[in-house]
Amino acid sequence: MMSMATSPAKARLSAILLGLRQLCASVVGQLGCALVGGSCLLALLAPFLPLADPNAQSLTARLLAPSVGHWFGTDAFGRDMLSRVLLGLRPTLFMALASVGLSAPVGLVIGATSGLFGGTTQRLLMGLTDVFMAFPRLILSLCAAATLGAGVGTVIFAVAATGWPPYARLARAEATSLRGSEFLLAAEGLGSSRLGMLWRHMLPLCLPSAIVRAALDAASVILIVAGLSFLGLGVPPPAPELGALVAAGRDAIFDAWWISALPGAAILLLSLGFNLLGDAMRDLVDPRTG
Amino acid sequence: MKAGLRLLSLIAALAGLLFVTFALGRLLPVDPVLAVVGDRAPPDVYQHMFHQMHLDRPVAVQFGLFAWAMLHGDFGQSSSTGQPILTDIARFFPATLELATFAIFLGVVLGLPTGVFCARYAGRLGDHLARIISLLGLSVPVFWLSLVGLLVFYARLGWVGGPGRLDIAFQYSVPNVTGIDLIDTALSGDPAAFRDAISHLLLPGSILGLVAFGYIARMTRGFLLWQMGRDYVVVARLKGLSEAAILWRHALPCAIGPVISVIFWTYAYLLEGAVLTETVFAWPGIGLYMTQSLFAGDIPAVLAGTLVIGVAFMLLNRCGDLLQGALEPNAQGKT
Amino acid sequence: MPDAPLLDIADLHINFATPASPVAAVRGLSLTLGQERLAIVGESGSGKSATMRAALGLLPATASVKAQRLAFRGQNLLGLAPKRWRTLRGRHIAMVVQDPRQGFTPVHSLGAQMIEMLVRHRALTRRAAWREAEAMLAEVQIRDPSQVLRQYPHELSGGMAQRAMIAMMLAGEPALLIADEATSALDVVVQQQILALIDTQVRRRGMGLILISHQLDLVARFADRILVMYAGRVVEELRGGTAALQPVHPYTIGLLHCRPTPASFGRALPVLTRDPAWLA
Repeated sequence: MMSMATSPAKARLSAILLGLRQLCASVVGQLGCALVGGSCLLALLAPFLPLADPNAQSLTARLLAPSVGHWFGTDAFGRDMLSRVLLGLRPTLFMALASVGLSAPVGLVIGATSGLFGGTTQRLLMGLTDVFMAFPRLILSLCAAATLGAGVGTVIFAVAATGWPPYARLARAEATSLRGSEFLLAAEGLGSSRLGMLWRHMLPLCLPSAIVRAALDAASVILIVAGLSFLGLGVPPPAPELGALVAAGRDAIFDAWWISALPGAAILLLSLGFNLLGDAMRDLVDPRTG
Repeated sequence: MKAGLRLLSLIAALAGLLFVTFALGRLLPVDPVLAVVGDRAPPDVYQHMFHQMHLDRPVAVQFGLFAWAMLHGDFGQSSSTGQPILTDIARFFPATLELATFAIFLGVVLGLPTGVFCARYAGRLGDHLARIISLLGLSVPVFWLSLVGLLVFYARLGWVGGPGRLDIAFQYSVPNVTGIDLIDTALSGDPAAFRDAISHLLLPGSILGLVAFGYIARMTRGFLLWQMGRDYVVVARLKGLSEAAILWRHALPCAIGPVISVIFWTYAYLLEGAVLTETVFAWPGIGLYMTQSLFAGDIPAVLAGTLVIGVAFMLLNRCGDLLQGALEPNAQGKT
Repeated sequence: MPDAPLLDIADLHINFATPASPVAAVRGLSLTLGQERLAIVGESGSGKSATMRAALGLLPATASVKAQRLAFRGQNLLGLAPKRWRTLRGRHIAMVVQDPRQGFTPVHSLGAQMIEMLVRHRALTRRAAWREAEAMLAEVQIRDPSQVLRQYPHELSGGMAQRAMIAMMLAGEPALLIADEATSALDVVVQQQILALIDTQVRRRGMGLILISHQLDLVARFADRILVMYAGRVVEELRGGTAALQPVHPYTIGLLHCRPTPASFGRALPVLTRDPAWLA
C-alpha cells in the first residue's frame, strides 16, 4: 500500500515510479528497457571502460576473426572492433536523441497551441504541418548533407526539421478533444491566460503520447542517422560511428564478415530496443491497441 | 469543398518542396558560378555566367525561374554523366520502381494476412511470433541486411545473383522496352535472361519486402485490434455472430481505409529506402544515381533527384489519403 | 425447461484481475427473474453491468466468475463453451446498449445489419428479411422504414438509432431483453419514448426485461420490481410500477433525496454521505 503523497512533486514522482514498474512488468517492456538502458549506459561509460584504443592501428593484427583477445575481431587496419563498436554507439545515439529531442518539443508545442487556440491559428499551423509532413525524410537529409556539408550538425538539423509534424498532429488531436473540458473552462474562469493554460494544462496532458511517439520515432531515426553515416554523411572518419563502421567493412564483407556485421547488429538492437520500449509504453498509455 | 482544400494542401506541399530544394541549392558553401566556370576563369567570363545563372536577379525571381524550370523537367546538365539530368533520371527511375514495386507486392501479400491473423489470435503464440518478425523488419538497417544477405545468400549459398540487375552476359542482349528488366526479359522470350533478372531482383526486393511486411503487418494488426475494441463489435457479439464473421465482415471493412493509406505510405517510404539498398547492390536506380552525384559534387543532379522522389512521395501519400477517404465516407476514422 | 425462471443467479462473485490486487465487482449477488420487468439501479461501479455481462458471457478474460447458480431457463451458464454462448446471444437473450450510433457498424447500412440478424436467427431469405426488417422498423414507430434501412448509422438521430437497435435486437425473438443504460445517451424527452417502446414490445411478446440504469426515478415506472445495487451487492428490493417509492435502506433514501425538486430550488442540494457499513 503506497503512502499518501504530500506534495504535487511527490505525487508526480510516485506516478513515474509506478509507470516504470508497470513498464517492466511485461517482457516487451523488460527487453526494451534493458536494450535502451544498457546501450545508453555503455555509450556513456565507453570512454572510461578498459578497452583497447579504437584508433590504434596494427599491421600484424589485421582482419582477425573474433577471438578471446579481440571479442569483436579487428578491422583492415588492425583496430579492435569491440572498442570501435562501443565508442561508435556514442555518435549514433547522440545524433538520434538530439534529433528527437529537438523535433518532439517543437511539434508538441505547435500541435498543442493549434489545438488550444483553434480557428485561424490552427489552420495556419496545421497547414504548415501538412506541408512538412509531405517531405521525404531520408532524401531531404541526403540533399541537406550534399548542400550544407556533411557532418553531425547537418544530420541533426535535417532529421529534426523533417521530424516534428507527427508530434504536432498528435498533440493537436489531443488538444482539440481536451479543449472543451471543464477543467479548462474552470481555469479560464479563474483568470488563467491562454498561454498559461497551454503551459500548465495542455502541454503536460499531451506529453505522455508524445513520449511514446518519441520512443518509436527514435527507433526509425537511429536507422536514418546510421544510414546517412553509412553513406559517409555523418561523423567524419576516423571517428567510429556505427553506420560508418558498417560501410568501412563493406569491401571485406565476404572474408571478414565481422567488421560490418557486428556494428550493424548493434544498430539493429538499438532500434529494436526503442521499438520495444515504445510498444510497452503505448500499452500502458493506450491499452486498447495492445 | 474538402477536395478543394486537399488540392490546395498538395499544391502548398509541392511549393514547399520546391522552395526547400531551391533554398538548399542556394545554401551551398561553394560558389555555384565557380563550380561551373572553374576558379581560373577571367572576370568577364565569371560575370557572364553570373548573369546567365540569374544570380543577379532578386531571390523571388530566382525562385520563380527555378520552379518554372523544375516543373518543365529542365533540370540542367549533369556534370558527372554529361547528359541532361532529365534523361539520367528517366533512365534510372524504372529500376527503383521495379525494386519498390516488387517489395510492396511482397509486403502486402504477406503482411495483410499476417496482420489479420495476428488480430484474430491476439495474445497467442502465433501473434507473438509474427509480431517479433514484423518488429525486426522495422528495426533492421537495410544497408546492413543487404550486406549480410549478399554474404549469406550470394557468396556462401549461391542462391541468388550478385550485385547489379543482370549478369554481364545479358546486359546488352536484352532490348530495353520498359526499363524494367523483369518485364523486358519476359518480353524478350529468353528464359535464361528472365531467370537471371529474377535472381538479381530477389535479394534486394526481399530485403525491402521485409521492411514493407513489418510496417503493413504491424499497422494492419493495430488497426484491426482498435476496431475490435469499438462498440459495434460488442453489439455484433450480442447478435450471436462468430468471431471470424465479426473480424471479416465488420472490423476489416472499417479498418481497410487506414490500411490502404499505410500501404501507399509504405510504398513511398520504399522509394526513399531504396537509396541505401541500391548503394549496396549497385542497383542502377535513382538512389544510386543520387549518391554517386553527391560524391561527384554534382549538386543539380542531387536536387533534381530529391524533387523527383519528393514529388512521387507526395503523390503516393495523397493517393492513399484519397482512397482512404473514398472507402470510408461513413466510418468514423481517427482524428 | 419451460417452467424454469428466465434468469436464476445465486451468490454471484465477479473479480477483475488488475496490476494491483484483484477488484471485487460483484460480491454475492442473487436474483431470480421470471416473465416480468426488473430494474437494476446503481451508480457506476456498483456491479450492475458486470452482472449482465456475466449473464451474456461477455466478460473479459481478466474476470473470474464464481456462483452457486447462474442459469438461463434452467441451462447452466457457468463455464459455457463459446459456441454455446453464440447460440444463446441474439436468439434467446438480447441486449440493447447505451450508444446506438456507435453500436452499429459504420460502413454497413442499417438494412444490411438487420438482415444479417434475421438471416442468422430466423433463416429467412434476403428478400423476406428485407420485408421483415421494414415491418419491424414500422413496429418501433419509425416512419418510412425502407428509406431508413438504406441509411448509414451516422445519418440517424440518437432516438431513431436506438429504435432501430431495439428492433434489431428483437429480431431474433428472444425470451429476455436487457437494456443496459439504453436511454443514458438520449435526450430527456426521447428517454421516456424509448422506455415506453421497450415496455410495449416486451409486454406484447411476453418477454422478460431487465432495465439497467443509474436513474431510479426514470425506470421505476417501467418495472415490476427494482433492485438497488451498491458496491457489488443488492442492498434493497422495491416494488415498482409506481412513482411513489418507499425505500428502507439509507442508501436508496439518500439517492432519492439527492434529486433536485422544485421545492429544493435556491437551497443547497443534499449530498449522499456513504456509510462504510453499507459495504458489509
